[in-house]
Amino acid sequence: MKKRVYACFAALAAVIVGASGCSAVGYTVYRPTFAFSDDILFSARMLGGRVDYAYERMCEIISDVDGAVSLTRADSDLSRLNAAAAGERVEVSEYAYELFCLSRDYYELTDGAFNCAASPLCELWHTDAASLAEMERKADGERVYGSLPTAEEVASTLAYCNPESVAAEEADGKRYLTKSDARTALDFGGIAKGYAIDKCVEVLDEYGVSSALLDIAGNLYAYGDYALNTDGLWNIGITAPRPRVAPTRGLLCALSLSGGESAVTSGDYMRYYVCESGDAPVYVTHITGRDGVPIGVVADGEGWKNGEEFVVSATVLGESSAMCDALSTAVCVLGYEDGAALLQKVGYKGLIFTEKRYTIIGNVPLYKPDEYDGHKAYEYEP
Amino acid sequence: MNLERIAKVKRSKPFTVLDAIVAAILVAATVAACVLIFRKPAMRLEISDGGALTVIELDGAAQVVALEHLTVRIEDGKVWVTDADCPDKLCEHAGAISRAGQQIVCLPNAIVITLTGDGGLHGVLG
Repeated sequence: MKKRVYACFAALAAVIVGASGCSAVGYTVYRPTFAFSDDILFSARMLGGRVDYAYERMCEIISDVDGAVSLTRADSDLSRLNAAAAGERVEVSEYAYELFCLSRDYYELTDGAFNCAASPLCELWHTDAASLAEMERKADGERVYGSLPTAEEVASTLAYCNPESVAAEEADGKRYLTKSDARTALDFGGIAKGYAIDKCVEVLDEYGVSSALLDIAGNLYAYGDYALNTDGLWNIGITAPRPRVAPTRGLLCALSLSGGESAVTSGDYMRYYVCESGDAPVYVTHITGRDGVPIGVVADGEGWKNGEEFVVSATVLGESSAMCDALSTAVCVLGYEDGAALLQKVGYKGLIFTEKRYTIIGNVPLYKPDEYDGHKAYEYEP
Repeated sequence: MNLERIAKVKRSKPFTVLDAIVAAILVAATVAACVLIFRKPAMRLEISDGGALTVIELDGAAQVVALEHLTVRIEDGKVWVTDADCPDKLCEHAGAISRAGQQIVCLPNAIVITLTGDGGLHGVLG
């Protein structure tokens, strides 16, 4: 009898000790490492299965995608295509080919708001990666640049910034892209990170991983339910878009992500500079509108100024990370109302913030809204 | 037989030394579990330089962490970088971080400094 009592005590003790120790076991956390031409961070946490092998394989995938679409490597598929003459067939890898086909689909889906052929415009506005990096080297605080293009320069460049002037063809198991205008240049920066995450997710099952959160430079994917919470939800923060200078931003709010969902945020605060040549400083961001002008910038007589109200942060949630990536950019381009309408049309969820107000599309559960309360500085519109 | 057993039970002490030890262990385990489960999650600073990861618990005390390429200073819940040996010194210009999810990145030296652990965020977007 007494033995049985001891056995009960021992079992109870084991349960208590086990419960208190369960936060120590579980997810293997892979700290941020530099991927994608060494200027993008990749991190992951994974549960179950051969996680080390899965992590290694994902790093390979990311590196291969980067090898196909990097603009800083002269030998990448995309660099070769951009340098090619009109009519020249350029053989590309499966990743570059798929990325182009997806980008072209999203160009149509978003009425041209997501444009992978806008990179000549970015160069014209000095918002391409190389120009921003150059400004960063010289900057003390914010990046500054002296001059902006004229409306005529924008219009003449816009004429060849169209993915429809690139033809895709598959023949004998090989893939080719052909430009009809030598000046056309592609940039998959608005979709490659999401695409790489989708490719990584495809291999997790092979390695027996049951639950994971992948993070490529702030693009997230929740694979399976979070195993250490009873509700199974992953809680993630959204970086506040203001103030623009990085370390003081903090969080806008936090939300709960379900297994099988990706979330991507785009905003005008990520890659931008300040032009101080006119009367008032003009903030110029890398997201370029359908009129060839960066979002938030409008014509002001001969020159440019910042507009009244525009999207400063757009978060999109859905099952395909590539699509979330493209849609978040498209929402910034389309603006508050049209962006919301686009998300409703395609059935993706999201949060859209301008400098004044915000709206939530679909059922996005906010996590601890009183603790992560940066969004309360904005007016909520259902 | 039955009488013998009754007598034995009557002779036995209701609460032996072993019982006391088991009870004490149970109480200790319960207290430890409560502390582990209900403690307020403290802010942690994670400094990753490629391979190695240094984790520092922010307990309110001022600290100076000297690394090979830069120095991390911690005071009043704020964290910032001084004495960076990289050419651009962006990590120094980045200023101080104080909220979970904030990062200071030194690209030339591949060092990432992250504030984490504020009660259950698993990642940060954007």
